[in-house]
Amino acid sequence: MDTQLIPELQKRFAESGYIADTALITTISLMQGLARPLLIEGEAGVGKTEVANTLANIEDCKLIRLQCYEGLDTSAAVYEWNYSRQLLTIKLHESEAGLEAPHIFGREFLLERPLLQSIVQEQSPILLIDEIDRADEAFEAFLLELLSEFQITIPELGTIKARSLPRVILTSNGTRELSDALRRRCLYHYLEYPDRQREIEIVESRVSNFDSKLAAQIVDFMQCVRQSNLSKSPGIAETLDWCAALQGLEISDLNQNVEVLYQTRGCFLKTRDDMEALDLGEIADILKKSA
Amino acid sequence: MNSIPSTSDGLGLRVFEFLQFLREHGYLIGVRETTDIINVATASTHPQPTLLKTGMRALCCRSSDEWEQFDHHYNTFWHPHNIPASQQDISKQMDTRHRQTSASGIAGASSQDSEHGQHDLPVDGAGAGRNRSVGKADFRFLSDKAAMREAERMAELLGKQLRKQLSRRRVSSLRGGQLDIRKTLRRSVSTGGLPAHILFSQRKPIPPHLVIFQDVSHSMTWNNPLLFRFVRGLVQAFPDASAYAFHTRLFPVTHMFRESSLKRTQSRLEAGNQLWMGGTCIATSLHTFNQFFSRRDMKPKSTVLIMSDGFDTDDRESLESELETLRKKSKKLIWLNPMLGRPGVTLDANNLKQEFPMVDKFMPANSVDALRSTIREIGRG
Repeated sequence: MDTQLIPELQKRFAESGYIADTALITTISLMQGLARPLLIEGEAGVGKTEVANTLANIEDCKLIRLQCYEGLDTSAAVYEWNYSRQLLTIKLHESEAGLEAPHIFGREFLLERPLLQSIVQEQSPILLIDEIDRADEAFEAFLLELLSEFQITIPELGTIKARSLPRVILTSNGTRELSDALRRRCLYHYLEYPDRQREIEIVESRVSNFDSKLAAQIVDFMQCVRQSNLSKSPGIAETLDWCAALQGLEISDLNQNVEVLYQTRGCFLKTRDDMEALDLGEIADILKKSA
Repeated sequence: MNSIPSTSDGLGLRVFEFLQFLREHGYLIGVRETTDIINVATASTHPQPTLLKTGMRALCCRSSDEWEQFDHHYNTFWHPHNIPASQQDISKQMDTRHRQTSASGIAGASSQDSEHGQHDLPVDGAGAGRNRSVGKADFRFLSDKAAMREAERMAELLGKQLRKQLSRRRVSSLRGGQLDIRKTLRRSVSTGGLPAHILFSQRKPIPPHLVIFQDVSHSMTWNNPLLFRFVRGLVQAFPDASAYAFHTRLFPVTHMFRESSLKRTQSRLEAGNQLWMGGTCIATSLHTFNQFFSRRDMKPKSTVLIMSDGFDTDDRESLESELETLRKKSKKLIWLNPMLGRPGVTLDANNLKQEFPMVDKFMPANSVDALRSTIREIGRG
């Protein structure tokens, strides 16, 4: 691990609009140095996916994203044979007598899905395997070969080894426990909500021409809201959405506009329970506490 | 800032000892991690402690619990003099709440269920790293509010996860089930139309019909907030499910669990039913059900869940008789006992099964993982 590069990488992240702490940057540089996948866990909306986007942006390389869901299988994630093209090839050869039987299991008949795409790139891409906890355990087990050997075995073709090692980032919201085998292959980082100062920096870097006094007020308010017993705590994305909404409504001071805060609470509250819990009085209380 | 010894060999050795220390506290650190960490640590002649710590954390931790505990373990090993006395033994922070009871019945009696004995218990979930994970921790020893909330959330999700699992489309398999014509034809394209690879699809599991009895007597106080969320998850996920709560009498609570707002459910439950109070009359409560509600709520395919520690003031014969009646009307009878699997409790599922053969399975309900096992059992149908 070249410790000299860490401040430089942190600066480049900041220039791209991602204000990261040293721990995250160190882990990212370890990921690059040790060529090991990085598993990022954390609450929804803390910026897990954005890490991969930003890294691809600053490294100027391709970002290949695989969004996981229940029932995801190899034909959607790794490869699939292009059956219609294979059929057409067979028909074509049938009509032209005398030709040799076509070979229909070549690379030209292969439809590359994200995982295969990621290992056949000339330049090392960023592979984002988003919300791995949503995929089935069987798919998780399949990933083990890719994550440890960076190769994929296709029975008809053989084993395809990576031309360049992709930098793999996996994210998880913790909706189900991941296997130890997967965790052992990855570096681990738990992304928490940013502290006050960092959240202000994020707001200022992501929302253009935003009043810094209002940014501080909003961040203080949001930090207090996260302490409340809500069923879904607002993340950074919600803070940014709310900032944009208040900017659009030309609000310059939260204390003078409690009614507007109440009306716009849908920007950062996402369930009916939470909407009911944060009524006008509660919002005024939180605002008082956060001041 | 305290510094780490700067000679490369000495540092490598200390790091090795540190990894050993972490392993003793439950971290799973393999050979590859060890090599990587020592390489990272000894790569620079003047390593920066903060960066080294961050790097080791990324390589050693596998879960958010280990991530949270890492600072404590790091400081304990590298800077033991800087740790406040109150934090030196993390197990001292754990809540050692317990209840004393002289009741008997299906729960049996714990030889260490006294104030003194409880303090000496090896607390499951009180250790470091993986053992501290919320899922594995015994509900009774979860004192941290955030961990409690997390455990409650996880308990409620279990029912929804089961529902999702059961409502999935048919799953392909190489053997068993019905012939999957669409997939077989698609696969046969690769063999020139010859169906050389026959694909099957497994039968879609039928969602269970659940009837749940939850003990809300005083003896279940510690477990109830979580079991309450567990039941809520099941009732909301399975529209046909029925839920009953009982202490000295039985009362239907299905409609309360169907409330979309958790707060409203809680306040409605607490409003009229004197929850978590008084003794337990399991046999009387089951008798009420068998007499008045079973015709409406029971089906031959019903899976019955009884959640109770088994402390009962009714006589055993009545309980056996009511359980027998319940079993005859249902497909499966599962008894979830939070005392099972708890350290120091001399209660065994096999012994209970021998004493109460009409109960198909006695299962622990003292942690989210235990509830997860129950969900798997329900899913098997």
